[in-house]
Amino acid sequence: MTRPILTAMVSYAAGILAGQYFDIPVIFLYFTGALVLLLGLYHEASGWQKNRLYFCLALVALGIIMVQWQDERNKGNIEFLADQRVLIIGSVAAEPDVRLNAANYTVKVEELVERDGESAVESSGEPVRGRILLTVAGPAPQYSYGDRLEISGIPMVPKEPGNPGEFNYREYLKAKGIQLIIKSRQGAGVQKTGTGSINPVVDVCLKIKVKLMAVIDATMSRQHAGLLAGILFGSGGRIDPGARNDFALTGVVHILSVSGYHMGLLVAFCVLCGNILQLNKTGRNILMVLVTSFYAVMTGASPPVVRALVMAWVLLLARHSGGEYDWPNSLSLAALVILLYDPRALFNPGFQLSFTATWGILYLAPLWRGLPKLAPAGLLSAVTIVSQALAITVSAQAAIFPITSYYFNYISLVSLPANLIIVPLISLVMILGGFAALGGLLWLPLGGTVNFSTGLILDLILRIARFLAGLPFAVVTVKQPSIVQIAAFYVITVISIEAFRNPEIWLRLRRRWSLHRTKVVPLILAIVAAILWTSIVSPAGSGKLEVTFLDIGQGDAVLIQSPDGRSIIIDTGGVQGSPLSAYNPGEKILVPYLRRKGISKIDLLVLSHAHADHIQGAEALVKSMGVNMLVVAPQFDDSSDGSRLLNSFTEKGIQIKEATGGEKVLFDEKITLEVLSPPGNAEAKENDNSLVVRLCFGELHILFTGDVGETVLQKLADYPVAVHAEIVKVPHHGSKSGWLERFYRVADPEMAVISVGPNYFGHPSREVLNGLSGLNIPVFRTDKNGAVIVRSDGSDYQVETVKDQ
Amino acid sequence: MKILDKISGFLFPLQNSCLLCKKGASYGSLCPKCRDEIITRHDFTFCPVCGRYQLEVSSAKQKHNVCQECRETTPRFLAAKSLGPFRGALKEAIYIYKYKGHRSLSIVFGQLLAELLLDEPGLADTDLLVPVPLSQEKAVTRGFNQSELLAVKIGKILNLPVSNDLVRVRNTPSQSKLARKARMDNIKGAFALSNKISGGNVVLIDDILTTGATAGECAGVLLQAGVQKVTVLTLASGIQEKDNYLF
Repeated sequence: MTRPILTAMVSYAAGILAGQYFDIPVIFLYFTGALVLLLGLYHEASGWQKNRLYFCLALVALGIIMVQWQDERNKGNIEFLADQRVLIIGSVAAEPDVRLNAANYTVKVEELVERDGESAVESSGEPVRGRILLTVAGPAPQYSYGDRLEISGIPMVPKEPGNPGEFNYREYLKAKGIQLIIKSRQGAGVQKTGTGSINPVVDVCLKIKVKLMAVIDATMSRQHAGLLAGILFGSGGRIDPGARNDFALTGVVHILSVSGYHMGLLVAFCVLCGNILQLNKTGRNILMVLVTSFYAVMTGASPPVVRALVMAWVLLLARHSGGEYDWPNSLSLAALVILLYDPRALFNPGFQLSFTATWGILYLAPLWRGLPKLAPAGLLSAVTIVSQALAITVSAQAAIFPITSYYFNYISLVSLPANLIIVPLISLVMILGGFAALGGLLWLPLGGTVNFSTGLILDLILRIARFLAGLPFAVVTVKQPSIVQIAAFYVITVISIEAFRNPEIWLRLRRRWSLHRTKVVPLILAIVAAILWTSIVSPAGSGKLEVTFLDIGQGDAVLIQSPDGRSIIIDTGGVQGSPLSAYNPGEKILVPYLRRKGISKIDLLVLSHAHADHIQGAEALVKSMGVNMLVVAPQFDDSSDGSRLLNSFTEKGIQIKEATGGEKVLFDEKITLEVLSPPGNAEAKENDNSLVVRLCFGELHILFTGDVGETVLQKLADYPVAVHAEIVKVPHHGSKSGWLERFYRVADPEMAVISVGPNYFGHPSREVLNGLSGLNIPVFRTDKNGAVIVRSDGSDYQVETVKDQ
Repeated sequence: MKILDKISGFLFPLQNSCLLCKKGASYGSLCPKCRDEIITRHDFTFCPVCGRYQLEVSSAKQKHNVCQECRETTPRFLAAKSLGPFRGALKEAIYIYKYKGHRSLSIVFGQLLAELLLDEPGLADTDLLVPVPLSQEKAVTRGFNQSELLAVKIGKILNLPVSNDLVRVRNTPSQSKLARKARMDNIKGAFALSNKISGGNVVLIDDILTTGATAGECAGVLLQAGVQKVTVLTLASGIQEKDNYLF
């Protein structure tokens, strides 16, 4: 074996996976340890080759232990403080994450002063241990690394994902050792009392970064300064969300993270300095190591930074010792270093993207080396440069494509031109911006002069990204691939490339081909035909009806997927009372969920009534995917929000159908939507004008009641056959205004779903909950159960929830 | 600095250097450049029967014409093929392989011969590989039969059986210092089959074909035992003097 580090890294990563996904008892580890030890003794005399198994096993065990140990380290004992008013003292333990309108501070808790208004000093048996994420929204004084803060507030446990495939914020914070969140508006309840424990090296690095940032801020516009901070230091918190979105859609968002290119520039800078200072080789190398590590600390030592750092050092060592640089070893060493310090980095998208992109560039790009040979001799050097850039872009994109599909559910079709144009410009920005920031430290006008041109280039970049992102078909939605599919992609890629590289496998294939040509051709044709047939004849559909009551917060949103894969949406979620609210659940929850499901077209959108908690997401929906038809009640047009929305739908050319009680919408042969209310002539409050719709699929009936109140339920209860349903969505988020026992006796549901989130209205009311339990109707709540998913073949149905309770 | 050396030993693994040019190699014992170098047949034409090479003459007519010797006496094998003429880099590589004992070269050579076999449509129905055996004496001094190693490697790649049933029954003086006629006499009756070989298409594997005497003798033995056709694959073939006839 020539690459022990690669083997070590793979074994160790396997151990981390095992430790994360299987709850491996300690006794097993002892057993493995003993086994490994015995094996080691057995093979003691023999060489490295035979020790391979021993070596791998030891590293797998180490991986498991490191994950469990990290769990232990990250554990706090402050969870019991959740949802109580507390006064705590702690110090800022990491560089603050400054956003456009907020700042996040990771606070290491040092002392619990008050709890529920009572002094907690004497009652504490064990010292408090843990971290709190302090979010300060709006204009407020800024704190920096090491500040000791006195914080008064109500800590909350971070939210668990409510919908399938959603980002797990609780796990994410847990991996950072953070147990609780405290939110503060404009710094209320937060006070700096002094300086806490600090690491002097980190402190110095961050202080220099603050100085450099001050130069940038002083010499550029707010927007450009935020962008330059992202490009130079990978801290992208202050980048305009629109610009970030443009970068994401054009596949160039990687320019906002620190890469090997940054390290390369730093090394070049060190060479320059070394030449000026007339340092010898060793001196220059020491300078490089110092400057690069300084920079790594400054940029927060995130996985991409450490990867670039380690690989740069290995390259330096290779130059120094005259060894042959071997990228698989170097890349593995970088992974090993990061994972030894933080085993859970393996699950960090930044880690995964950084390593797969680098792997792609180093492993896949050289396959294109032969390409320039095809070009005419006169153009050779130009073609070589372009084709190299092309090879790097294509290889990196191909390598990360399964991962980006997994996390973001889209593929950028313009990433190739975007990268070819924007990346060279970014290199220029890095050189100019870096020079300006350093020069500005000495003499500010120097930085200002240089940054004038930096700003022009940034402007150009933003315009190009905006233009490309705005092109039709700039992105296509892809279904979230499964982990197995992702693994298969990498395994097949590596195996086929190795096969073509290794002459013997190639020869064997040729031999098989020459012998079995007559059999192989029909076989391949049959496989291709089978794949085509399955993809054409049975598209996305699972063969079952799937109804998902999404956990959309305080609001309603239901996705219905027909057995042949077509989609109906009933209400789109939103925040009541604030149509212009910055937080739009339709955009943040509904659309991403549809993307993960691979849905890019809504065949039927039903909006029950024109309240924000039901329709706010509609605009985001229409913006990001096609909608075939909209069904509303005639009264929808009466409110200003409703008519505005209808106008925008009309402008988009979407067919609008007004439906009243008694009408039927035949969706397909098996699925019918029966409209039960409101009647066409009725004049009532907005909630009572809600569309009441019964979904009929074989023997399954689901009643969607919008926000109707008691009056409407009274009328509905007069038609027992029409309102009977196996599943009822409880009206108005479980409000007591929508409670009528007679209605439930008549409809006679087997279960009820309440679509509700945290709210100040008291939804769901005690009356409704008690009433339903009195009737022995089991209740699923989207705030407690997360998304509620009902699957049915038309005769039977199964219910699945995301959370247990 | 010992620790640094150790670390760099881990980080920068020693790579096999190419046996010919002594520079880096990624696969096998030859670097891609030398690998291409040893199979070049530039400037040469070869006889489609005995596979031996002649310096190319500008007139295109002569290309792949049967050489005079083959026209005078048809060899007992059907045809012979080789990687290239016995000269230059190939000659050196064979020397390193045979006399310096770098058996690892059999990997590269085996791959190249397997490729050669695949390139020949007439060999698609090959049933058996038979290496030319070494005399007892030579087998002892050299320690391995270079032809057998090649045959085993080709067999492994192409999934073909290898037979060791062709044996030397008589030790003969080295062929290399003899003339063509003397070689034929020298080798006569030197081979026999230790076991019956079932009929079919046999490919005979050897390192060098100089005059075709050894290969012809082996082919004769095999044909007599009921084999249908014998084709010869060698690493290198000799270079013939230019034919001194003109139609």
